Amino acid sequence: MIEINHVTKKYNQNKTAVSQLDLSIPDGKIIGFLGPNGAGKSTTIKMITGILPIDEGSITINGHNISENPIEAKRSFGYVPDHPDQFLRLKGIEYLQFIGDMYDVPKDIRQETIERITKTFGIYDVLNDTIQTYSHGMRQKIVITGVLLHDPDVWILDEPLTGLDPKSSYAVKEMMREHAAKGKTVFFSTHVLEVVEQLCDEVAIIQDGTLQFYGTMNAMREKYQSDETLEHIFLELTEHE
Amino acid sequence: MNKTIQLSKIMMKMHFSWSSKSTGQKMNTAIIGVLTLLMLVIWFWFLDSIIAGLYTILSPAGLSNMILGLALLLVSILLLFTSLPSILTSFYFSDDIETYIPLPLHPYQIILGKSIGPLVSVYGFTLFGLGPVFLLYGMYSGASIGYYLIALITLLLFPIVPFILASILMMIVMRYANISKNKDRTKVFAGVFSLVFIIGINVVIRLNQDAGNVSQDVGKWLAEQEHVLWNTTKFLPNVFLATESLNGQLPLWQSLLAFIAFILITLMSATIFLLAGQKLYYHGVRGVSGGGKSRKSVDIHSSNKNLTPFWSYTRKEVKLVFRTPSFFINCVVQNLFAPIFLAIMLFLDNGIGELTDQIGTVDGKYLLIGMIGFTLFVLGTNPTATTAISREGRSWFTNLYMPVHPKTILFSKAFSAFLIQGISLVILFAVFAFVINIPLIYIILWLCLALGTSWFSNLFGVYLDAKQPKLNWSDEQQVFKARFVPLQSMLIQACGFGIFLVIVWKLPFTSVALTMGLLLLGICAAIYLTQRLLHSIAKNEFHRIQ
Repeated sequence: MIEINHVTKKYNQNKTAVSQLDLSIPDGKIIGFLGPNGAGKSTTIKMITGILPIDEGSITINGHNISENPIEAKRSFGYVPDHPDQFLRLKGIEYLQFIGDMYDVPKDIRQETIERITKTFGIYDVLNDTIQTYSHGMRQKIVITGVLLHDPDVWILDEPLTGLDPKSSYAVKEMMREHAAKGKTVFFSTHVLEVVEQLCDEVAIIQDGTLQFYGTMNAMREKYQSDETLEHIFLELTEHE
Repeated sequence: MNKTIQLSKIMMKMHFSWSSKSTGQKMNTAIIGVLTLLMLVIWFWFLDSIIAGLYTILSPAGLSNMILGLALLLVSILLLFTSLPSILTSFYFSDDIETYIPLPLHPYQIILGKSIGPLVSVYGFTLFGLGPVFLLYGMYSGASIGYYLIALITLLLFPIVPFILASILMMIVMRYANISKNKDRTKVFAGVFSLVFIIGINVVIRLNQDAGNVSQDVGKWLAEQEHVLWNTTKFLPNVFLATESLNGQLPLWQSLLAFIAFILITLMSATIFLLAGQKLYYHGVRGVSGGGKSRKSVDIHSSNKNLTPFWSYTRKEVKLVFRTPSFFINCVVQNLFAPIFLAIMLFLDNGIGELTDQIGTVDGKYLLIGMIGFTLFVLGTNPTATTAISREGRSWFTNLYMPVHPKTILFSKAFSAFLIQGISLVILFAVFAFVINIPLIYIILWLCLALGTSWFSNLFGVYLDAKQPKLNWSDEQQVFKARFVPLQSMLIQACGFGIFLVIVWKLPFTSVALTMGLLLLGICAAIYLTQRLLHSIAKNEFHRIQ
């Protein structure tokens, strides 16, 4: 569960990236986080994950405050950043072993999980190559494998399906569904509205740093009295952009 | 032509833009500029004594123009070799190459724009190396205004030919050797080659370190070797022609003819460069970013070892330093520079025997302080710790979301730098123990102190880097360029520790035990203080590192 309470983030004193954001993301659901470019999605995700300090308000993940109890909070989530270009000169297997060490993943679980997931993603055979030689999609897959390796309760994914081939994209979506079905949390940002319609139990729409809507797809249709697709509602909601 | 200029402008902006630099970084660049000017003054003074001596010896025989010939030849060779790594990086391995290749431009246009970065350092070298020589020669020979005018134009045109030779060499190598598979190894090779070359030049200079002796010896040698010099310059006709055009002893028409020929040769080589770029560049550059694939299949079982976050992080740091060419050259290879240099100097001086004899008569106290002082200098110049955070670049954020305590990250970084510096300690140990034959007891005492000094030096380096990190770089080489932190670290260590060493040196006792005790106490205090500083960064400022 992620609790965001009255969170504000300012850049350079006068530019407010996120303003008084309140959001409660429950267990057992997949939540899509939408908004136009520059709306504050990445800033919010970076505050949830502890990458950016919070100016006002608080964020807790599974009851652990990210500012006051960062290590415990960080143990409870797995994060896939929007640019998977890290540790490029490590080999795939070295990266995964490194992540295993950082998250204290036991040896036997580590070996089995790495083998299973990398075979599903079709990257098992390149684990001995440096990440530098991987394509964007392969880099995305190795980062997702790193997240799945320590099996966190909360998944936070920034544009997770970008660059993935259809088979891997399908596999990730299935994994997200399975994770939520186990009563755990999946929170992800995307620009692909079809994915949101297919996958999400609830959506949160942010614009200019403030939350415009949060609820189920049906609640959204009711609120905006529309039978239109999410794309139409989204465009209407953010039309002055 | 218009497109070429536009492209060059954009590339120049990307390379030298000030907009992304913080006020602190701008200040640092300004301070480095002032320091460079100061060094130029010292260099000018040093060259003055050499040229004055040479002029006195060579002038009566009418051979004074050989001063110019020698300077032009040396600078040419230096430019040829030192520009190889920057040409390789700029032309073939910089991150933005793939942005330019799809543009509707000719290869020669891209290569012209890509030349600007390396050319700036080439011109810097030329200005530093030839500027004072031209000026001093003019002063001693009482040259006319025409000489200075030709000297100025020569200064502007001269670096072009060596740069082009190095560029064409690299283009041919990259065209025909399938280097893309070993991209990183190629970079390391070019870097090491240049460093070895610089050590070589230093060794030659070291052979005649005294400025007076240099001019005496070289003067005599030159007078005997007149033909050799001119025979050598035949291979670099621009050196011969530039020397002749600046030679006041020749009739005016001959000098002018040489000058025109010099300009023509420069223009011709520029044309050849563009033609070679057009023909060869794309063949070499395309596919370079592909990288090599390992044929070995993965063995998860054997690589599966549980390590604590501290050890795992340290291992990752060391691996990344060894695998990233710029990091490897600056942190590891440069690490070897000072100790190897010391060993070579001792061998060349043929003074090992003398030194070993003297060591027997020196008080243990002074021996120990001398050894630690030199160790501090060697360790202080190493940038592994002072770039520990900056090396992460845009990946730094991964440290912020992993469930690892900031303290673990910072201390792992210091420890990995400590391990890498261990290489120079091993070489120093070998030099002290087997070359200079310092008694075993002092070697053991030195080792205890050196390990402590190294730990302190690395803690302090990481602390300084955490205070002023440079994370927004697009080329790994930028981590080490135009940064004040390594110099700052060295100066603070030299001042703080240096003063402490001088005080211990001056204190009126000769007891080795007391010296050891005091030094150990000083080092422990320094370690304690820097550990506290690093703890405070981990607690209060870690998330502000962005």
